[in-house]
Amino acid sequence: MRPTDPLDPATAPIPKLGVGLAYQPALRPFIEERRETFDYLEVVPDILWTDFGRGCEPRYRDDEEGQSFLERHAAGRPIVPHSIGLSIGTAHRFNRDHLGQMERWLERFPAPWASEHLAYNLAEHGADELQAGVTIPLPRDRATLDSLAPRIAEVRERLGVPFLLENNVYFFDYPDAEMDDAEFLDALSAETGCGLLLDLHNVHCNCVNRGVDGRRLLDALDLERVVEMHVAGGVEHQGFWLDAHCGPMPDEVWELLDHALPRCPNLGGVTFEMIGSWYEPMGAERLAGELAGMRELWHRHQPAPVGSWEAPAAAEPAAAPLRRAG
Amino acid sequence: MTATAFQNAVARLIVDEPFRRRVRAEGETALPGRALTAAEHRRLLAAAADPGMEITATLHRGFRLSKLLGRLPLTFELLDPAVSRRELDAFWAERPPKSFYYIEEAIAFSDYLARHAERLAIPYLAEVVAFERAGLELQRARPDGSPPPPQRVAFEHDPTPLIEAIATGRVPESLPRRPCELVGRRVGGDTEWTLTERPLPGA
Repeated sequence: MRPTDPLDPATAPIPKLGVGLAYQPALRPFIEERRETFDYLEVVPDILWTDFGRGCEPRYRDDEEGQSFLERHAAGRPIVPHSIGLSIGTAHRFNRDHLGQMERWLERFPAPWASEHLAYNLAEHGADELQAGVTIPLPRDRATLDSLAPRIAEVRERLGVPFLLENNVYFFDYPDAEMDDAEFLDALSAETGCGLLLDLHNVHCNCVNRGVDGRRLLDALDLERVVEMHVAGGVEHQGFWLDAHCGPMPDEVWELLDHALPRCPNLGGVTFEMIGSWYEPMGAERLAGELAGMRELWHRHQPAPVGSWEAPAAAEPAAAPLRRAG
Repeated sequence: MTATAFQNAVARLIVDEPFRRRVRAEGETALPGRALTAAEHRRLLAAAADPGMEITATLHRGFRLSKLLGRLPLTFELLDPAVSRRELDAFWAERPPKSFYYIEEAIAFSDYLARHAERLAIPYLAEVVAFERAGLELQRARPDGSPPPPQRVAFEHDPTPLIEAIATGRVPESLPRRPCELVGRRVGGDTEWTLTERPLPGA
C-alpha cells in the first residue's frame, strides 16, 4: 500500500509549537526552574526505558521515575519523541519490537509527531548483533530508498502521527552516490510520506567536514517537508567539526537557522540539543540565552502564532499528518 | 543479502580496529568477497581509506568509553591511561558492543578486571571494582521489576577514607587493614550502605 502524502490538505496541520529543549536528566533543574524559556520538550524515549534485548520477555521496562518527572514538569507542554533505537536503515531485519515500544510510549505521551534518525546503528556480527553507538550513513541511492519505503509506511501506520527522519551527520562518505543530500532527502520524503527533521548542526558538520554547501543544500531542499529543526553546538577535533552537542551554537548554525526559518511553512518547532554533562559548564543563563535567541528568530520568521497542542481524544483517529501551507 | 553484508562490513570498520587496519593494508582480500558486489567493494575500500572513518571510530570508542567512565569512576581513577587502553582493548576484543544500555557492559568490565586483578596488581583495585559493581547491580533494572537483592562487598581496608580519597583523585599510599563488609541496599531511589566489621584472622 502506498502511504498517503503527509502534506495532504485534507488532514490536520502541524501545530506551531515554537522553541523546544531536548530533555536530558542533567537538565532537570533547568526544566523545573526555567520552564518559561521553552515551549515543548523533546525526549529520546530510549533513555527512559531499559531494553533487555532480543528474546527477553518482557523486553522493555519503563523508567517510571523518569517518565513521571516528564509528566509532572512538562506542565502541559508537548513532549515530542525523538528515538534512537529503531535503526530504520538496518538491512538484515526491521526492529518491530522497538516500534511496538514506541506505540506504547505514545499512548502515555501523545505527541504531534515522532522522529528517528536516517541511518543505522544495528548490524549483524557473527551470530549476534552489534550496536555501533553512532549513526552510520546510508548510501544515497535508489536501493536505500526502496528498502526504507515499506518500513516508513509501517511506522506511519502504527504510530498514527507524522513521522520524521533526521538528516544524518557523516564523517566518511561512499563513492558513486546516485543523489546529493537534497535530492536524496526530497525523494525520501516525497516517495515515502515521511516529514523531515532538519538538523542544522548536522548540515554545518557536513559543510565543514565534507565540503557540503549548507546554504545551497537548504535552497535545493523542499523545505515544505521540514516539520522540525535541530540546532546545537559542536567542537573541532583532529580537523573535524563534531556534532558534540556541547553548548552554544556557532555563528554558522545561527545563520543557517535565520535562512531556513522563513522558508519552512510547515515547521512545528526548533529544538536545542545539548549533552547533559555540558549543562554545568554552559550554565542556566547561557542556555536560557540560546533559547531566547531562537525564540526571537522564530517570532521574526514564523508569522503564525505559537499555539497550544492537545492530544486527540482517545476515541478519535490518531492520524494527523501535515497540511500543505498556502 | 549484499546490503546486509555491506552494512556489516561498514559497522565492523567502525568498531574493529584490527579489521580496519587489515582492509587498508590488504584491500579487497580482507573483505568478505562473495557476499559483496563490485560497487560495494569500491565503497568499502573508499570508506576504509577516508580520514572520516577514523574520526567515526574515535567517536564510537569515545562514546563507549564515556559510558564506562560514568559508571565506574573510582575504578578508572586507579587505572593509568595506558593500562586503561590496554585492558579496554582486550576486553572489547572479546565483547562487541551490543546495546545502548551500558550498565551491562560496565558490570562485564568489572568482572573482567576482577578476573585479572592479580595480574594487574594495582593496590585496592579488587575492592574498588567490587564496590562499584555492587552499586551498578543495585541500579540495574530487572525484567520482572523486582527489587535488587542486597549486595555484599568485602573490604580489607577501611572503605570510607579509601573511597573518599579516590573520589578526589588521590590514591592512598597506605591504609591500615580493617577487614569489614559493606552491605548495599536499594531504598526508594537511593542506595544505602551499611558497614559491618569482620574480625581480623587470628584475632
